[in-house]
Amino acid sequence: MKLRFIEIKMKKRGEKPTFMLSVIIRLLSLAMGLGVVAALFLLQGVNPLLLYFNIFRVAFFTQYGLAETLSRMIPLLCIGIGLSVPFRAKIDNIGAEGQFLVGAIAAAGVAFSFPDLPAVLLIPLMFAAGFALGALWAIPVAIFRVMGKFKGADVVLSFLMVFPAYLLIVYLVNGPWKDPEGWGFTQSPLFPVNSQIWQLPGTRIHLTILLVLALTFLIHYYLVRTKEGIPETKLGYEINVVGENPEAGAAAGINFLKIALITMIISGGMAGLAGVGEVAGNLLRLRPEISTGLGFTGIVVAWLGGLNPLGIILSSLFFAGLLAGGVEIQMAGLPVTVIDLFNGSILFFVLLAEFFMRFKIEWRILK
Amino acid sequence: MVTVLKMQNICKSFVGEGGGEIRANDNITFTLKRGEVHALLGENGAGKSTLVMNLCREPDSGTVILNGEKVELHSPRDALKHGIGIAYQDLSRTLVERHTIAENILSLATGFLLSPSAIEEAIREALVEYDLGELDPQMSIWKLSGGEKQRVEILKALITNPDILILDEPTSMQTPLEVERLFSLIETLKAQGKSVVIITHHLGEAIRISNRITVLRGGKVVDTLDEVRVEAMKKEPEKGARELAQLMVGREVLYDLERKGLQEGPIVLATQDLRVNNDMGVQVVNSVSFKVRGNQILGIAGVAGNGQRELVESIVHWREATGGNIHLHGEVITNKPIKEIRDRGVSFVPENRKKALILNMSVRANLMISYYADTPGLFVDREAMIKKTDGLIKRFSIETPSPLAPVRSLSGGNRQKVVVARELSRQPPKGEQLLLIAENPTFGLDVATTQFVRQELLKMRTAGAAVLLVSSDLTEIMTLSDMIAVMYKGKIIGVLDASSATRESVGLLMGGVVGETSNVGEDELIEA
Ligand SMILES: Nc1ncnc2c1ncn2[C@@H]1O[C@H](COP(=O)(O)OP(=O)(O)OP(=O)(O)O)[C@@H](O)[C@H]1O
Ligand SMILES: [Mg+2]
Repeated sequence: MKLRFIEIKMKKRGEKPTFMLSVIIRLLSLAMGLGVVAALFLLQGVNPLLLYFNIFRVAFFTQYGLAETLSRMIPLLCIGIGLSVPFRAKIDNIGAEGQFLVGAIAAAGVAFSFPDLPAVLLIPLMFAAGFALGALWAIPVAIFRVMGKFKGADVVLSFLMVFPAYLLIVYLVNGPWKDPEGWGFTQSPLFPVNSQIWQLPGTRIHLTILLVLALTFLIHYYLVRTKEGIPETKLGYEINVVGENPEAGAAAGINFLKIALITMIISGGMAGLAGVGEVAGNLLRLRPEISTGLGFTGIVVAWLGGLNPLGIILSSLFFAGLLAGGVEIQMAGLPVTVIDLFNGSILFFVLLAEFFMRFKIEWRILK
Repeated sequence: MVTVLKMQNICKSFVGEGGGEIRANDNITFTLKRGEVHALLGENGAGKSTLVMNLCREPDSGTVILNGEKVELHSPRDALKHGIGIAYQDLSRTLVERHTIAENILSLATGFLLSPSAIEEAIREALVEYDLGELDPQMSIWKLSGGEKQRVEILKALITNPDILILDEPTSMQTPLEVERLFSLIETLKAQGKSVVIITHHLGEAIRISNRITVLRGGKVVDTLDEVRVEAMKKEPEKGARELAQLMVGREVLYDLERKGLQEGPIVLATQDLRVNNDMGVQVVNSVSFKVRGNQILGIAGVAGNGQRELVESIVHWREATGGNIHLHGEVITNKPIKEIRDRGVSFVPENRKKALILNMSVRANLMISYYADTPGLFVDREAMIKKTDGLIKRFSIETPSPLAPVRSLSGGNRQKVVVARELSRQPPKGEQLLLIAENPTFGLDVATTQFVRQELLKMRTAGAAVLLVSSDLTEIMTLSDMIAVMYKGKIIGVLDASSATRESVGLLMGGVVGETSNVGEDELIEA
């Protein structure tokens, strides 16, 4: 008698999976993530198919919902694109949340300091400050990644740096920037008019969307896209090399610290920009809970999009839709935080999918 | 004699990037008799490794018959169970770098040797029994030299005491002494009635050790030479080797290298009391001083593991020099950033392929790594890179379905060609000579390509380059070098002028026996 009747083998793929295959694997992992959450809905006595249908309908086929989806997409796309850059170089920045928050702080600081500057000067200044502070928040991560004495130093540090950013906002809105007419709410006063980013009338889609799309295009064009197997810039090539084999990169004379710093500055800076846009274009106030986890959702957005800008546009649209259609979740009698469940379970399956793109599983029945 | 293994009508294809199909094995039939040594020869990419791999994974079609019975072998473990021990060529795939020798071998154990101490004991015994030299079972794989890794792989194949032993290029990184030992081991196994398949690019070795020889070309069997023909070749090995080379390549192979007498150029590289540690922090380069001039090849001979690797790696600062100085064109470059050193016109063909190649990236991306930064500015000069890489693929006949295919899909020899092509084609800065450091550059290359690379090295010498050639292949050292320095226990114990050196005099020095001739040379080299 044989106990083992099935043999399962794990094999490294000789070649990279084709584009189609990688899309299919990602869609499958997405479906599995949704499936897990569906099971939880069922346990709560909610019909998941109906709920998904409603989320989808509201998010993409109602005027209000679509506007809200696009508005939510702005920070998600901005953070996700930024994160994809260090991720491609195998640097794990999971602290976009903190970089986003300090970006918002920078925006508020500039707005409250120069309320009388004309908008054409003030708003670019806020973006510049947001980028700078976000990048500054990210630089230690790069240094720890390269000099750190243990693997994962970047993960730990980037995560830990979320908390000081959050606490700093709590302090500011309770202290120097407390809203005098806030009725005890911990929030800043409304942003000065000149610092408010123009919105499409009747919606919360603000002009930041153009900036984000432009940056997405730039990153795609200069860092990611290859023609004849060659990216446009040296940096793009070096990021690929370092991401695939850091030892070979170092041996060829590529300075890993330089790559880590540049990619983290791009990533932290873009999270900072997202923070500026969110407070100056959408909320118009600084509050401790401005983010609602956008920085963490951005990680899932980047991976689900295959670390590829075009894919990330789609995945950010998807998650923005989930957030916008989230009202339906409330209507169904479930707490909004259920959305975090989506983040978690989808990230889980997407990372699993990464594994399946590198390895294939073979199995056969033993006779 | 009885046939123990028959592989019948074996076909195995791979799909290349872009859809092209590579027929790595195209209807191959191969037999192995009991008590014979059967050599498998062929150019890089001929399909040798693919053929033996069919003993641990299913081919697309064809049958494997073991002792008259049809078998299906799905994994290396299946092969072991059927008494087939395989030492693979691609060690990066079969040895776990971070684990120790013992742990790597433990992975084979099926119940009989489960404790680490038992395994270590078994390894020590096996090392003595099979005369495989010194290896510390507790040493991590990544700390070993290429040759030592190969011996671990052979040990791994042997330790289960298989009836059929398959050795895929077991000698490519071994010293002559170790090759001798391995060959006497093979003779012993043969006498015990075991059968051995050996893949090698050293045709002389193949003729010497084998009873029969099968030659592959382009995935097909060209010919199987029976005992009588091989016996005839043993009488005239020189002629035999030429005959085999012709069978492999399908045309006459250039055997004689063109080597011009040249005026020595200016000093390009000089080291002074250079001291370097190995990975374990032990000083293995002990105050080494030498210099290399333009138009000159300095060959560093020596048994692998006497500090050669550490020496050359410290020159390009892959490794820290702990003492002494390195001068390039008269300027100190000791421990300067790698990029700075390389930009001054230093090319390096390392033995460590892991650091030289990015397996998941395309052939083009791998070739580019030494050229993309040649133009100033932030952008890659795409047109120039396409032209450059396509040119290199063509000139060095790198066998790949497309420049965009990942290096991982290339055969072992073609991977090495990528490194060689890249490093041998760099241009020095204006008015200066290139320094080329070649560490066993022809490891794993077939005869024709080996000759080609050697000829290229000589061409570089003619063009003015200073070449530092580290090789454990004495023939390579003797045919290429102008000066020969012999390294022994971290020191250069002798320097000979190539015109007066003999295999014997170099061989003695490699064993640490210092004669009189050498000292003269050494002084000469260090002074001025
Ligand atoms: N996993 C793979 N994917 C795609 N192509 C492959 C793969 N393995 C081998 N090949 C191709 O099959 C052919 C035969 O390769 P193989 O490794 O058997 O050559 P070889 O005779 O062992 O050469 P070498 O002397 O260089 O080791 C080569 O063209 C190689 O590129
Ligand atoms: Mg091979």
